[in-house]
Amino acid sequence: MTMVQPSETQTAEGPAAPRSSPDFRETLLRWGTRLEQFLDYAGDRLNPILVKEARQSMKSKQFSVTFSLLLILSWMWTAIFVAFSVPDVFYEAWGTRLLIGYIIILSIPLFIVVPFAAFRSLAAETEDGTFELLSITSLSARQIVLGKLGSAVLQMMVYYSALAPSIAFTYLLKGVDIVSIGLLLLHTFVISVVLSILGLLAATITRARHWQVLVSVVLIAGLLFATFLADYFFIVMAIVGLPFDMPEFWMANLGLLNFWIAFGALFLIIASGQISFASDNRSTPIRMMLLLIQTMWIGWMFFLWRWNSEMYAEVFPWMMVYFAAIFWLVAGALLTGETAQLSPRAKRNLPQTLSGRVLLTWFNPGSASGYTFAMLNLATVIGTQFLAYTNIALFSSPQLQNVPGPLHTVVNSLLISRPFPDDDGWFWASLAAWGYVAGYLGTVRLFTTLARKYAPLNMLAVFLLQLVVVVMGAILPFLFLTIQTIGDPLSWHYSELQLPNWFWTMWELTWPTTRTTISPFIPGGVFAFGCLIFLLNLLSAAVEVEQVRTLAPARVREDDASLRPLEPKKRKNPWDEP
Amino acid sequence: MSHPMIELRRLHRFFGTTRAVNDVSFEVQRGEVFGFIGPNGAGKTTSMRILATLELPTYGDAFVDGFSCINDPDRVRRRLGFMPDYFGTYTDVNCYEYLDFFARSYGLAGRQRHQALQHTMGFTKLDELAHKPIRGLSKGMKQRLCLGRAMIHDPAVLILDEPANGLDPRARIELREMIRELAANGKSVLVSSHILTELAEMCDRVGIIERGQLLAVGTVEEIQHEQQPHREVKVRVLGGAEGARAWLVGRSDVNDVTLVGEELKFSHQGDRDSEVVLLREMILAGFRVAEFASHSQSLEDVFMAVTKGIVQ
Ligand SMILES: Nc1ncnc2c1ncn2[C@@H]1O[C@H](COP(=O)(O)OP(=O)(O)O)[C@@H](O)[C@H]1O
Ligand SMILES: [Mg+2]
Repeated sequence: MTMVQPSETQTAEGPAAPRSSPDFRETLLRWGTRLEQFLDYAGDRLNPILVKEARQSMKSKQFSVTFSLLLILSWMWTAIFVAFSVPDVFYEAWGTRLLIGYIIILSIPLFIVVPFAAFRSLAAETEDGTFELLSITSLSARQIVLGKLGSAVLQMMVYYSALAPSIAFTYLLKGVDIVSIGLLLLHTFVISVVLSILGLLAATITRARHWQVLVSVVLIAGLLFATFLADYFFIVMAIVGLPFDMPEFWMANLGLLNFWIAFGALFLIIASGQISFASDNRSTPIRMMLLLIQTMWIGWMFFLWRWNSEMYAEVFPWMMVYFAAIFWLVAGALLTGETAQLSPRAKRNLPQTLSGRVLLTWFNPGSASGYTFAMLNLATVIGTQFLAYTNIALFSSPQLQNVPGPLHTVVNSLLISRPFPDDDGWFWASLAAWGYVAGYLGTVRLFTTLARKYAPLNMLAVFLLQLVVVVMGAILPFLFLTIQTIGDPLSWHYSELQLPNWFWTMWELTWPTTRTTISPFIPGGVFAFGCLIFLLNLLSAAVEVEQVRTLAPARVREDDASLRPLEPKKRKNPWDEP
Repeated sequence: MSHPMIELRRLHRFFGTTRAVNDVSFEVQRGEVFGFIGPNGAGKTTSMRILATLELPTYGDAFVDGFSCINDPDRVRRRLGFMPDYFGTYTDVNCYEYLDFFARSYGLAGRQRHQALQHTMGFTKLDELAHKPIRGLSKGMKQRLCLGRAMIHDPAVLILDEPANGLDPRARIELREMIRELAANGKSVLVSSHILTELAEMCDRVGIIERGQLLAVGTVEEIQHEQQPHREVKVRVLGGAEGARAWLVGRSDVNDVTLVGEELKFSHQGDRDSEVVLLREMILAGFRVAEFASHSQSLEDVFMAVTKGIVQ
């Protein structure tokens, strides 16, 4: 009723312009308001950083310059291609070449400009002081990082759409199919996202100006290298052709995507941990992600093994353990750098039950718990594999072959009738691998725990120290032997002196040569040393394990009680009681 | 249930061997404006940054509305607006977009956000500047925008680090009025400056800090009195000034009497009430007092006396 009023007054006032019917304008206005309300509503759900940066990028020069360059380059490439390949292009399957050209042009903004812009955008927040203003709002560190990532994705979308017509055009040519286009777009997108996450992570490493410069140089070099690798790979694939009929091709695709997504998520969690408040619990989410990655790795290895046992049975046991050992060496080098202080805030959510404490204490922040966490996980990988083999031995025995029921089916489908490796070399090698990781990480950890009593060592320092010690552990004995045997090259061969040299020892264990026979005492000794160091560290872990949950202060509980009807308490971690 | 809105409890913050904040404790109640005064490098910014959950104390804790700035930063942040001594801004953004962004970041949505924006822009008189790019703003406008950003989520506590720094007198008066209005609306305000006179009129209480230590806390009068228990008195006696001088010298609460012409100057130990008594007694003693004026030290003198001029 009130809606009609304005139009009535308008007609009453005098001759309204005949071309604009008041009713029509009314409807238009109403729809306009409704649209505005909807956009407002939708905008409220969006990440504020995304909204702000979308507004900003419309006015930014960098964006419009890149966009125009991208268009110009793609036109130029089209022109060159057409000039050189007409009329062959209509008869030969050359469309792929045109397509790869576009993808390479696209890879410049996607793999270099967007990730670097993401890096700059987060780094600029710290430089201009806006990061501090932002960090004290209700936005969580995760939201800040995701908002930045979101605006990177938004830019990617614009670049994709700039080249969409050209790419669609290649589809009309011979040799290009929709699956290849889809795969290329998918992979370039995922790579671009992961590189952007790395850019964001790089921005959180340091706040000091001079280090920031170094980081940006390293980042640019890395991005250029990654672009080169990816483009090279695309070109090779274009020449070789994509083997759609091979299941391995699809598995490799899936595996690659899984890899990107898993590590992308890990880096995202690390980046947001880096910028969160110092008393926050930064470790637990990172450790859960590490565990998830390990689980996926075991899953993949088992899948491949089950899928084609003949081809992979030989490689599988080695690969599974070695990659896991490298993974936990690097992750452990980071985890052992954590300071063992549990903030009172983190203590409010500590596990309380006995089982909770036994299983979950290793997720708590702290250097000793981090070390134990890494070593237990590596042991799990080795143990899983060991169990798998013993199960095969067990279930291959004729009596057990006919165990009835679903259990058998499950076990059977997973394990039975896979070939068992002839020798048990992998087992000794696994023990040695665990021993090396435990020994190196643990020794440095004990040392840094002592050193921290006298000087503050941050996480990065411990990480670098760990890596230096590990590398030196391999190089020094090698150098020693080389110097010792100058002029006597015949005696240059593996000996017990090379025990700290993990690289050579593992090499000999993996590819035993007849020239040097390695006694089981060597891997056994390494394992024993690793166990000793592990136990020593476990003793020092007692301090971290001792921590018990403390009650939140009265004021916090009072506030919780007043908020509870509004916002249900979210579980922040697995042992948080709802 | 009654707790101060801001509380510093034995706050310490060391940077290497620098003791930026060294055992500072004070409280600010609801609706109170507290001035935090000290020379450059005294530790004002560091204390405020700890309150704003941007830095952790080495020892001690700070509380906002009863919540620890160390352990419950998220609860503190919801209740606190911070205006730092720098102007953090983005390129290619106008005033409206800037405030809108922070309103969203504080979780304000829909009608609530519109109202918050409208109220804030009205309060800080930024309405006409809404679509002006931030780059072109004057110092005064920037400070108003910063204040707007700090109060956009209607926090109960406001922490303003040297807001009047570099403002012209008019902008300074406007700022003072805005701060008084915020306090009248029940906000607790902690405001810092290195100039005591700048804060004297707008603060209910002040704390003087130097070298990380709080030297004096109280109302400006209290501190003045504490610093100078005697006040300077000037008396003009018509005829018989010599006699008055002798009379005054005989009193135990009067010191340093000098006589220039008809004018007597001396320092009197006591408060204003005892000055009234002194004046009455002079008149009753038959002196023809034509003028009686007393004044305490200027704020600057008090400040200098308290801080002893040790500047880092
Ligand atoms: N991040 C820092 N690193 C080292 N020293 C600092 C840092 N921040 C402040 N300081 C020192 O702490 C002291 C107090 O500084 P500040 O709190 O900024 O003083 P104010 O704000 O009162 O001028 C100064 O001596 C300053 O040099
Ligand atoms: Mg300061």
